[in-house]
Amino acid sequence: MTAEWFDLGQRLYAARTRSPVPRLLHAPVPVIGAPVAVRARSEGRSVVVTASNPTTPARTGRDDDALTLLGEMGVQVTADTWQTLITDDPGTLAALLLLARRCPPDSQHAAVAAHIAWWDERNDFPGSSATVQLLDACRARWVLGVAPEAEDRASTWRTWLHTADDGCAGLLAILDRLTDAPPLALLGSLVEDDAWTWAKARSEHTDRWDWRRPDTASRAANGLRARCDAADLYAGALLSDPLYRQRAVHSGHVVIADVQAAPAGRNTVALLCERMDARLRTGNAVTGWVGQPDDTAPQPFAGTVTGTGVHGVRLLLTLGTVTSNRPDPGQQVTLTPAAPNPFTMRAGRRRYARLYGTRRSWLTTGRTPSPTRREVPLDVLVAGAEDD
Amino acid sequence: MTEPTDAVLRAYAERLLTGTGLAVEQAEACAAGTATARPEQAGAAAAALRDGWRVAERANHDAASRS
Repeated sequence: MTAEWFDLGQRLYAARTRSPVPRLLHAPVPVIGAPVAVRARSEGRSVVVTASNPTTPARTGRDDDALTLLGEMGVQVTADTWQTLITDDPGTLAALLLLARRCPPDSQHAAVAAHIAWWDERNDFPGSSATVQLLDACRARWVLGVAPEAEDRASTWRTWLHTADDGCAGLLAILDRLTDAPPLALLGSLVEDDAWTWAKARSEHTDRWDWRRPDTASRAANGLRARCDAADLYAGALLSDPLYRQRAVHSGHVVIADVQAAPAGRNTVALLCERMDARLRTGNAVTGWVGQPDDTAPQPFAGTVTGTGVHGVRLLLTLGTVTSNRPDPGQQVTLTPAAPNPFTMRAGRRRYARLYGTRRSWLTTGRTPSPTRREVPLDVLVAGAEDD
Repeated sequence: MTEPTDAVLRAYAERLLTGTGLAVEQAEACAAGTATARPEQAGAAAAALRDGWRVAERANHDAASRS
C-alpha cells in the first residue's frame, strides 16, 4: 500500500501552495435543509450548550435552559422534519446525550431529548443527514499541508478555510464550503433511511416508547446490520468519486489492469494488474471500464472475480460473467468493487427483521443456521468493542 | 525552490519516509517532478508521492477554473 505516500505528496503540495487540496469532487455530506450548529460541554454536573442556525444568532444555555433554546430552534421530535446537528467538537453529542438522559420521559423537554437521542443513533451512520461531524467531513473533503494530527483541531480548518468566526456561525460557514458541490452518489438513499427512522422516532415518541431503555436483541441486531449496510454504502459512495478513485489505486481498492489476449471463455476476461496489492478477491462483484480511474464510465462492464494468480511478477485476475461492453485485448481498464444496491440492502434488512419477528425462524428458535460469512467494516468492529 | 515546510509536517514526513532513503527535500522534489536522481529503493514511494502531487495539482487547477 502506498496511500500514505500519496497523501504525503498531497500534503506537501498543499503546504507549498498554502491551499487545501480536494480529496473529493463531491460533497461528503448530503444536502442539509435545516442545520443547527451546536457546541456543548459538561461543567461539573451541568451541561452548557451554545447553538445557532441560519436565522438565529448564537445563544447559550445551561441544562433546562439549553433544552429550551434547542427546542426553540426546532430540535423537537414532534416536528415534521429533523434538524441536522452541525458540530466541530467530538464531545458535543455525548454532552447533549447526557443532558437528554437526565430529562424525565414526561417532562416538557421530552420531545427535545428524543430528538437528541435520534441524533445519537444516526451519528453512527456515515453520510447521514442527521448529524455532520465537521472535522470528519472536512478530512473526507480536503487534505491540508499539515501533519494529520493537526487536522483533528477545528482551529486548523478555520485557518485553512479562511473562516474568521470561531463561534457557531463559523460552523455554518464551513458547512457551506463543504456542500458547495453536489453530494456523493448513493447518499440520497442514506437520507431516505434518515427519513424512515425519523418517522419511526416520531411515532415511538407519540406511543410513549422510552428511548432510554436498552435495545431488545432484535432491535440491536437490526441496528448493527443497518450500520454495516450504511458503512458499505458510504464506501461505495466514495468510490463513485473520480478524485477519490485516484487515491484508491494506492490502497488497492481500485485496480488498473491490461486485458490479456487469450481469454479462457466467452464471458471471461483475463487481466494483468499494474500492482500486486489489489483488494479484489474471488467472488467479488466488480464494475470496470476502459480508461483511467478518474474517467467517468460511459460504457461500464460488470463481472465477478473468478480467479486470482500470479503471472511473472504481476497479479492476474480472471473475471467471469462479464456483461456487455466487454473490453478488448490490449486495452487498459479500471476496476472497482461493484457499488452496493440500496434496494437489495433494504430488502435484506426487512427479511432479517422478519426472521427476528417470527417465532419459528432459525434466529428465534436457536437452531444452528447454515453459516454465511461477510466482512464487517472496521469502524463497526471498533465501535462494537468500545465499552460505552 | 521549496517553501519551508511546517516543522510538525516535516517530522511526520521524515517518519513516513523511513527506509526509503529519501530526505524530505528529496521527497518534495520527487513529488514535484523536479528530482533528477533518487535512491534506488525509493521507487514505490517516489511514484506515489509524484502521483499525489500530480492529482493535487490538477484538482486545484480544475477547482480554480470552475470558480
